[in-house]
Amino acid sequence: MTTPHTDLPAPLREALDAHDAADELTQLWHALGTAAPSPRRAVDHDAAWARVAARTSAPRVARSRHLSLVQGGVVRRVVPWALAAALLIGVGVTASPARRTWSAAAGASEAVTLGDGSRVQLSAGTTMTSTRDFRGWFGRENATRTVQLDGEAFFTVAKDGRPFIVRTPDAEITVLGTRFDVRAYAADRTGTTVIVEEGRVRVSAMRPVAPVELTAGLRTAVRGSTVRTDTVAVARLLAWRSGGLALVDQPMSLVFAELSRRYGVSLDMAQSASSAERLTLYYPQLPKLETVLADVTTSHGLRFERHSRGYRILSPTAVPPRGAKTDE
Amino acid sequence: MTAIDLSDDTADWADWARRLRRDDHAALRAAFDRAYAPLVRFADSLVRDPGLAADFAQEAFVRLWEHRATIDPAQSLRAWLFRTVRNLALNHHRDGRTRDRLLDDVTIDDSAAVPRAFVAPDAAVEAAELLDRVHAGIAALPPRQREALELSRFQGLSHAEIAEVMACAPRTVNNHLVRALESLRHYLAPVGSFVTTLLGVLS
Repeated sequence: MTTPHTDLPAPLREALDAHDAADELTQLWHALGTAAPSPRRAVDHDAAWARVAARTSAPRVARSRHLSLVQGGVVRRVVPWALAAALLIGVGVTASPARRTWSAAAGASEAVTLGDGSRVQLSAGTTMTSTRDFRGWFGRENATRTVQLDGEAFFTVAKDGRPFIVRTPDAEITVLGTRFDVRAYAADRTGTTVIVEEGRVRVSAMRPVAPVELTAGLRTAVRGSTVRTDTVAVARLLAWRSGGLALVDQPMSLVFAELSRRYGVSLDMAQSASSAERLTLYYPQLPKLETVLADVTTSHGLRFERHSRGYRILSPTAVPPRGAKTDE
Repeated sequence: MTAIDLSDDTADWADWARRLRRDDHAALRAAFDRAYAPLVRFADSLVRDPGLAADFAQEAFVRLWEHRATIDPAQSLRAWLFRTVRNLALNHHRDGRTRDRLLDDVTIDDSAAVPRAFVAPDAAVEAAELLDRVHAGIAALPPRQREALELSRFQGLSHAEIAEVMACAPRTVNNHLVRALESLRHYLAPVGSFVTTLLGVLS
């Protein structure tokens, strides 16, 4: 009987070829591979990764690996001052309020539970910061629970007597205990939008405009000193929370910015393709990106192209689009 | 159930090594997804304790992240992980015997008792039982032979990588493997057609 010897490591094959039982040993080697007798116990891969991930964190700032400013005699003069400075900084660090940052990467959504029991769901490409456990200098409890938001998040705020405040560049949203959504992507420059699912929310624009009280089913949009409030279908607009996508009457550029965040893929628009047109998209579940792109581009006489880093949206120029869908 | 051919993922490992040096946490995840289960199996073959084995494999990835700045992309990252797991197993204080077993010198291997032969299975023996026999044969091998066989045949490491993991010369790896096969052949010899049977049952 012949046995395939292809997977025999070269040095081992040489050694076996010089052996009188070479054939048998080679067959045995092959049989072992087929039998794979290495114990195969069920390995809890995800739980194990969670433990590893908890002990290894992605760095926020590039670490400086080489700190080589001091040489020779300078060290002696610098070190005492450095120590004194370090001591002061050390005191400052322990006494000053520690900040915490939570973020959801592009293409991801994250669930966060804060120290007060409030729960926050972060949409793709969102960053939220606050002081650790809402404590200030020397670990004293702050009078308010304040978070800064860049992006979109849904808040389920626990009641604890202190007001809960969401700060964006345009507005301050104050609540006691309620469920609401805040959308304020700084990069979009579209201001801040608040949608209330339950309870009562006060939205104060940073510009001197009277604050707005919002109740369930209402949405308010703050942009500069303009504050507009309307009634909306909350569940539909917050489709992102259950993995869907809803964009209502949005300019093209914003639609692509949102798609880029949600899919974690780079999308850019050729100058010629930019338009002032607005569009509305609704998907209860996120379809494949190319499906969405096909829907958007075909309805607006555009086309898209895949490149190494993502997609490019183009206007149909004189050159007929190769491979682009023209039959829909 | 063929052994994994790992030669074509050398490029992946080199890529992860480069990315880890640039603090790319996603590269750690990719390496984890590829190597965690094999590392647990390898650790388990050394300490015979699945819980400990999982701890060691996880610890290896934590250390990899901590030492990412010093990774040498020219070296095998996979070998580094296996060596780290092996060192953790060696240094495990609760089982001093592990260290003794693993540090056994090659010469001692030769005098190690040849496992007793088992009774010939008849044609009706089930595959599972055959596998148990093979497993028993491997378990009875001298530690260094078993380790070399485990790394080479079941984890797909190259001779150079195994030499790095086991801290010995590549030629020694070869000797371990040849001796392991010989021992197994003796162990299985009474079953004349054992290998053929095994292949027949499994294919």
